[in-house]
Formats: sequence, C-alpha cells, structure tokens
Amino acid sequence: MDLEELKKKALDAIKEAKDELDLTNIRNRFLSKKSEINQKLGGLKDLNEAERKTYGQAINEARGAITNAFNKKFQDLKAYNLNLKLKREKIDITLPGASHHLLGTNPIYLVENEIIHIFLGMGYSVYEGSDVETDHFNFELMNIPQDHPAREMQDTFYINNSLLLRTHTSPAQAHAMAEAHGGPVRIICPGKCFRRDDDDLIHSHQFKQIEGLLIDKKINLGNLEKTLETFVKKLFGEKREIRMRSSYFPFTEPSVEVDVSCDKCGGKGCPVCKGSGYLEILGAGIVNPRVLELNGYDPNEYSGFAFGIGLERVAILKYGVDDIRRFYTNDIRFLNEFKRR
Amino acid sequence: MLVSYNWLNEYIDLSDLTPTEVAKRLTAGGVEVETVTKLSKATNLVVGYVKECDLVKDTHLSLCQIDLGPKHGVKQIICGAPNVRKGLKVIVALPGASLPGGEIKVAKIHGYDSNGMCCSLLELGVDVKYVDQIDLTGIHELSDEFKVGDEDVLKHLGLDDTILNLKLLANRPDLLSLYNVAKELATLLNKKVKPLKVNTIKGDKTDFVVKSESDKCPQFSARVIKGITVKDSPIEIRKHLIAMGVRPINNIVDIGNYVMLLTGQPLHMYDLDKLPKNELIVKDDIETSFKALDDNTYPIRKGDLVVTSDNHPMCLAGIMGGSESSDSTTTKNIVIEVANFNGATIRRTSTYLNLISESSIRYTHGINDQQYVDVINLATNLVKQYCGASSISEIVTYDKLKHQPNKIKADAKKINEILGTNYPISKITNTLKRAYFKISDIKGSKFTATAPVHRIDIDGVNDLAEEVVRILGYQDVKSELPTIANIVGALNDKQHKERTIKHLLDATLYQVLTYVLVNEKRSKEFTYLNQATPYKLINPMTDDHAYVRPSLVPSLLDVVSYNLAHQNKDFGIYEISDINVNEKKESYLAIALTGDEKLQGELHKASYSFYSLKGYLESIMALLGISKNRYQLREWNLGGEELHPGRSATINLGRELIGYLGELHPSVYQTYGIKNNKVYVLELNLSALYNLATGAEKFKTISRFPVVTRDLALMMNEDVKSDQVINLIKRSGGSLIKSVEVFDVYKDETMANQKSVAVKIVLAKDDATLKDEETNATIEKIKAALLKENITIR
Repeated sequence: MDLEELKKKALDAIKEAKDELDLTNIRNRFLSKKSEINQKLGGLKDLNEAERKTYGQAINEARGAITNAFNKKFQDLKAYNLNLKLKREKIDITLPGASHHLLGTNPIYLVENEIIHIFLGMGYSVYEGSDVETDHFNFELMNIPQDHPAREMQDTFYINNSLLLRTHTSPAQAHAMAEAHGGPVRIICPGKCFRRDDDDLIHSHQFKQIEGLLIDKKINLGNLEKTLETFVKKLFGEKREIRMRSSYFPFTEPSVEVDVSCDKCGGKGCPVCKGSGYLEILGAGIVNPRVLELNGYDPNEYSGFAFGIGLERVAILKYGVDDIRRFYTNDIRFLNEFKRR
Repeated sequence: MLVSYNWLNEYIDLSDLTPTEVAKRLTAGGVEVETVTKLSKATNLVVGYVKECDLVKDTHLSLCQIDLGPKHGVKQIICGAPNVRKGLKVIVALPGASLPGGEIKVAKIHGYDSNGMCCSLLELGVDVKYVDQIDLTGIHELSDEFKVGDEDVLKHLGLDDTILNLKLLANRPDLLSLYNVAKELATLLNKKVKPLKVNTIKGDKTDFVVKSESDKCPQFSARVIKGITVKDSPIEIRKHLIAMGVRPINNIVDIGNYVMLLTGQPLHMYDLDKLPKNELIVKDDIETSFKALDDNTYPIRKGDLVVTSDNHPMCLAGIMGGSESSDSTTTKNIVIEVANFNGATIRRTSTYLNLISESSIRYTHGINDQQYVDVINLATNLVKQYCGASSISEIVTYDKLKHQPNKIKADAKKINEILGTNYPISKITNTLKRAYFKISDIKGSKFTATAPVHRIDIDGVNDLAEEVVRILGYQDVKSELPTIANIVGALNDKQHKERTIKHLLDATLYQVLTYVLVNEKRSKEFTYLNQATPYKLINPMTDDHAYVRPSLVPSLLDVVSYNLAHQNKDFGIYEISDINVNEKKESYLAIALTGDEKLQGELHKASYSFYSLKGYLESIMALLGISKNRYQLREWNLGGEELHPGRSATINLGRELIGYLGELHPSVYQTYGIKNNKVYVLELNLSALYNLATGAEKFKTISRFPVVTRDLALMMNEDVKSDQVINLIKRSGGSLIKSVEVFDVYKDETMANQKSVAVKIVLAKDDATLKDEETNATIEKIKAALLKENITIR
C-alpha cells in the first residue's frame, strides 16, 4: 500500500472507531512496531540519502497525523463516555430539599421584631418590664390615682391589693425614668398586657404592646409626629401617611390617636376603613408634666413624648388576620402562613 | 353617648352640613363618633284612614279600604293586625316602601289585591324598648291630630332623627350633655350656639329642709312643687328621650331625664307625700338595706351616700331612687333634687352593687358644679308647662362648694414649644376664646386663661396646648425628628443572647405565643423549676385564666394537643417567656416535640427523641459559650408521674437545677387529651444562663501535622454510659487523644446484659507527625484500661 492510501485508511478507521477497544485495535494495526507504517520506516535504509530524507519525512508526517487523530478520538470518546455516565447519574431536582428552611412563626413575633428593629435604628434601647406590676407603677406613677375614671377603661386583674397584671406597658416609663435619674431617656418596651375582657373576635384578656418613651429638653409634638411617621412608613410602606387626632390618656397631654392611611383605598374611604380612609394604630402624646413630676423630673426643664402600639392591632392590619384569638391558638397551619422575616 | 341630631339643631345651626360631615369634624377634634344612624330608615309612608274593614272569611285577616288622601286615593289593603278597625288612623307603607324588614310590594293575599301595609312602630325600626303593648301585637294607632295623606308621618312622630353615637374620652364628661355637645360643635366649626333660655322662678317660702352630713356631698338643692298631674309626656319630650336612648315613663320622670340629657346634671324627683319628714338629708354612715326603683333590694354599707328623710333611706344617692319615695301615677306634690355627689364614692357604690344608671355615669365622670340653680329652674319651667303646678317653692340649698374660677397662667411661647408650632399669641387666645375660655392679663407672650365652668378637665398649660391644636388641626405642627442627647440604642447582652437563641430555634421549631394565665390544674403541673405557690388572681374572668403560670410546659402541651386534634402532626414548638413567681421574674424557654422530624419532607424523616431535645440544649449552650463541663445532665431523680423516669434528665449548673428534658410519662397523655403520639419536652431557665460569665474566645494555631484515626468495637455491660467509656479512653490515652466519638451502639437478645459500642478515636501530636509505634502503644494502653473495667474489644 502506498503511504497516502495507508494514512487515509488509518484515519478512516479512527473516525469509525466506536469505543476504546476499537481504538486499541486500530493503534495496534497502524502504530505498533509491526505495523505497515513502521515497516515502511524500516525499509528506508534501502533507499538513497535524498529519497530517504523525502520519504522519511512523509512517513513521519503520516504517522504524526494518525497519532494526533488517534489522541483526539481517544479524548472525544473519553468525554463522551463520561457524559454518558453523568447522564445516567441524573437526579430529580423537584424532590424536596433537606429541611434547614425557616418555619412559620407567630405573626405577633414578626411584627414585634420588625418594630424593635426600626426603633433600634432610631437609637432607642429595649427596656423590659414585668407582667406582674405594682399598683404604684401601673397606675399612680402614670397619673392614674385611685378612683380615676381611667381605671374603668382598663379593668384590671389583681393578685392582691398592691400587685396586679400590668394593664399597659406604660409602667416601663416609670421604671426607665427612675433608672435614668432625671436624665434623658429613649426606650421602647415590648411586653404582654392584661385586661379583664372576654376573649372574642376583637378582644383578648392578654395582648402585646410596645411602649415608647423619649425624654429630653425641648421635645415637642412635631418630634412625635415625625418619629411615628418614620416608623409607620418603615413598617407599612412609604406610601402610607399618618394622621393625628386629639385623644385622652392620663399620662400624656396633649394626647393623640394616630391613624394610618388605609392601604386598600389610600385614604379615600372604603369598607375596610369604614369610609374614613384611615385606620387606628396607636395612641401617643406629650408626656404629661404631672407624670414628669411624679417621676422626679422638672417639667420646666424636661419634656418628652410617649406612645403605645398594640401588636395584635398592627398584625391584624398588616396581615389581614380575622380573629385575634388565632394569635393565641397557634394552629400550625396558621403559623405556616408567616415565613418571611 | 347617643346624641339626637334634631335636638342639636335646636341649639346650633347645622343646616349647611350633613350629619356625616358633623361626625367627621367631631372625630377630628377628639370627640370620636362611632356611628351615624337614622332612628327609622323607613321610606314611602303616608297617614291613612280606615274607611271599611271586613274580616276575610276563615282567616284572621281584614280586608280594608283605606283613604290615603287626595294624592294616593283610596287603596285596598289586607291587614293581619287584631286592632285594625273602621275609623282608625294608621301608618301605611306604600308599595316601594323600604322598611327594616324588606321592601313593600303589591301582593295578592287570599285572592285579594293588597296595595301596601299598615305598620306598627316596630316595623318602622323603632327599638322594642320604646314601643307599647299595642305596637307589639298590632299596628300603631295614630292620634286624631294626624292628617290623612300626610307623608311626613315620621317627622310628626318624632322618628325622623339621626343619631350620633359618641365614644367619649374619660376627660370629657362635659359631653354627657347635649347642650355641651352643641357648644363643642360651635367651637370646632367656629359657629355660635343659641343660649339656653332659663326663666328664673323665685318661688314661695318653704319649711322644707335640706342638708348634707357628708363631705362627699358638698351641695344639695331642692324645690317643692305642688298640685301636679302625672301623665304621659308630650311628643316634644318623648322624641328626644327616645333618640337619646332613654325610655319615656311619665311626664315627671321624663322631665328629670330630659333636663339631665340637656345639661349633664342628674336630677331626682321625690313624691313629697311619701317622705316621712319635710326634709332630705344626705348621709354616708348608715348600714341598712334599700329597695330601689328596679324593685331589687340593695345592701347599703358605711361610706355609701344615701339621701334620707327622718333617718330612712329615700334614694341611693346619684344612682337610683327608692321604690317607696319616688313619684308614681298618683303623685300630686313633688320635690326636685339637684345635688353634687362625689364621683369616686358613687363609682365605688355603683361598682359594688353592679348598678349603673345614666345618673351614676355622670357623677362618676364628674359634673359641672356651677349650674345647679339653672338646672332646677329649667326643670321647674317644664313641670309648670306640662304637669301643671299650683305652687312652686323657693330653692332650698346646702352649698359648701368653693365657687372659684379656674384660672391658668399661660405663655404662648410655652404652648408653641409643646406643639412645635409658631402661632402668634393672638391666634392662640382667639382659639381659646372659641372654646369659651376667658382671656385676661395679656403681657407680651403671657396671659391668663379662665376655663369655662363645664370644662372640669382643664388644669394646666398642656391642656391649653391641646385645646389649640385640636381646634386648629395638626397641619401647622412642624414635623421633625428629635435631636437627642448623647445616648445610643442597642440590644443589651441578655437581649442579644435571646435573639441568637431564637434565630437558632426558628430554623426547625415553630415559635408560639400562649396565655400567661392558666387554670388551677395547669398551675400545678411541671413545676420542677418553681416550687413556690403561683400567683392567684383575686378577680379572674374565668377559672380557665385564674393563675399566673409557674411553668411554660403545660401551655405548650395544650398547643400540641390542639394541633394533634386538628390533623397537624410531626412538629416542634417553642416559646420564650417570662415566668413570674415569688416576686421574681425570670426568662424561660420551653420546647415540645412530637412525631417525626422531617429531614427531607416525607422522604427522609426521623422520629423526635430525647436526643433531639438534647441537641437543642447543646446548641444553645454552645451559642452562649457555655462549655460542656460547666453544666450537667443528670438522670431523672425528681419522681412524679409527668416525665418518663428512664428517658428524662435534669439540667444542672452545679447544685442549681436550671432545667429538665425528657419524654412524657405515659400517664400524662390522657390529661392533655393526646393519643398515640409521643411527646418530648424541655424547660430551661434562660436567666440562669444569661447570668453566667463566659470567657472571650481566643485563636489557637491549627496543627499542621496529620491525624490518625482508629476505630474500636467494645463489648460492655448495658448500664455503662457512653460518657464513662469516652472519659476512660481520654484519661488512659493521654495527650495524644484529640477526640473520641461513639459511632454505633448495638444490642440484641443474644447479648444478654451486654451491649456493643463502637468508638472512633482521633490521635495526633501537636509538634510532630505521629509514628505508628506511638499510636499502637497508646491504643494498647487504652485497651488495658478498658479491660480493667470489664470492657472488652470485639
């Protein structure tokens, strides 16, 4: 066979090779010591120098081409086989992932954490009160003396004459003021509160509040408004607006009810907000000078603002929960609805 | 407080506004209007005259021909009422009329066309408490004054009113008076009220005596009126009472209520002839019983205010009159009482007796003490007009009140400082004048404001600031964040630790929120960490919520039970909450696990076990930097039948018990209504952990020399604990042992009281590569030590 023919034959065979066995046979046939091409190389010695050079080069070139083709084919086959193997190892990616995912949680905690986060960002500290309080802190220091009509507003669970379950988180104000020794205060106090209510769709004998108190020099109603507006926009979204309405709490004067614009109608009025365009979310006000005095501050020097946020109320507005009792029933199906943090 | 819109219009011109607009303005000004409703929503009504009325055979129905006046003519109507009869004037709802019960249509009844319906007041939507017997069983019978064809029948019945339901704040008792509501509206709307015209009657001399022997009644006035006739009140009075939610009784009682609703001052009417003596004396030191107007007998304690005559109680002061001395249909001569009783005292008595009246509500919240003469005269005039009066006495009065005006020294600068506004002083004083304050002594920014007598809530500059801002609105308040002294906010160490623990647990457990108040039974369960008696409420709402819980575990078990009963299986829950016992407050964690832990949904799950709980405990300790040698798990030694004695443990910090964990005892499941599910619980006093001092973590060089691993399979008595084996290996192996871990525990019935435990031992040297000879020598030492303890190598 002449060299060109041999080369073509070898290259064709390599091209046709199906697997590594084929390839090995081809190598044995075309590239082994006994192969035709190597024999041709052996035959070079019979040629004259010039012929030998020319012919030798041609043989080496043919052998190089075959070797290259062989190596390439070998790599291709290897890659092909690996691919086949990987294909066989394919898994069903739609099966469930291993459970390190977050579970649902009680939405009251979600709201609580979010509010704490917002106020930490505004430089507040978290002050913790106690479920069991004294009459003195819960009422007297909050400017609600014995026989004050406001005591009717918050019918109280008593343990004895002086101990009770706090009816609001406001006693934390008095504790925080006592600890600040007449200096500035900037705290929020999350906590459970208790009132003698029958549990129904909208009432609960236990509920959660976050109290806020800021005391410093020259604090005014505008400071309160901006603080609460900042809070509401962070919690409910930038589009929401707040509105203040005159109200009454014994521990603030002036007192305001703060409403947030209805997200359903944007303040125009709809069934969700009963046509008012706004939804009640919290009570607030300028700290009553009498409360400052009762807690060791000079109201001529210091002023402040306070607010109280009902967490159930916020959670109901934020998530559209239909029954306050759901927060305390802890049905796993309910908790599973609240996964986002 | 229900407010009649028609009555309001008698004192302030609201014709340019709708009731809803008025309600909005009130609400914005701090007087929240909860609802605006029509007294009767009925439409398309007309006065009819029954011309013919014949019974339809074999029915209770009457076939009537009713004259509806020139516009509507005579219409045939079938009526089922027993009192329908020829010659009666009736209210007819025409076809198309909308009544609370539905729309009226032309109908065919028993073959006869019926072109409308004869109505009772009940059918027009009037509350059942205001209608009499006739309207309950039949149709309303109109008096002769009504004109046939009159379409304004609701108006003439006084039923065309709109009712504003005010939710009053505790500081505005003055608004328990219709006239003061009118004044409030005048303030907010910048309008004028019509003056309350009081015709002062001097009256004749009387020997009737009034007196107070209690400092809780500083003022008591009375007037005797003789020769009156008790009968029904005229419609002008009845309609206002009905609109304001008060049931009309008779002219005398109604006049008392009418004047009270108008002025906010309660009155009481006595039958002069039933008083044992010509006197009324207020006392607060008698103990007796008292039969009130509602026919109930109430105990009177020392401290309760009573109005007496000849030492007999005539009236439970400020709350309710007596059944014997109050006026009745036969009353001829009356005594009108207008007094000032201490609110706190009335509140205490009223709460104790569980007896609340329109009168007690007003005293409890506080009354305007400067208007009693006007109030008596208002009532006198009405009695004269509607009940006849042959003689009217002078007003006899006991009065120890200080009649001093409420003057407040104010500064416009201070008011602007409170509000964050920049109002000129004139704007502030003019606004206060709108609210009936008198302004005097203006000097620079300073002035004196005298509060109107009805505003008993005003007592300082902050109140003035509130008046200004609620009248002018909040738009001028400059909204800006406070600039604050040098304090920074952050979570403290304890709060940070709690947050970290929650992050850990939230990944695999549901965080629940449960009630702090539990029933007596639950208050006694799982009290291992708190042996002290739990707090008990003296006034619980229900037995179910009467004790402050000393343990979180019963609450979690109730949640587990609820969920298992609602087809929720396979879950873990936790709660972190304060526990209050014995005047101390500590933060607790409880965990409850049941069913399987879903490692990969249903594909790969593992039953929760003791070790799941232990894992949570170890992770929490690691998070808080509390190393394993600082706390101990001890086998259950607390007895009881709540936890499985062989699968539970206590958690100790030295001698201190800080928690426990384990499988529930079989006898507990029934208590909680849990069937066919094992439950594992943990309770841990986190405060005890937060208080532990923990050292700072410091970097140690990572060894660059390789480690050697050897596995050993060991046979030992089944009672030997894995910790004992590990400690033995560590002790005997010395410093080359880097870690020892159990990787298999096996036991079957062929092994008698033995078990097989396989351990993986990791050895290394910190300063050189470990040689085979060293490893082997160490393992031989370990084997020898194990053998000494009867632990053999398999």
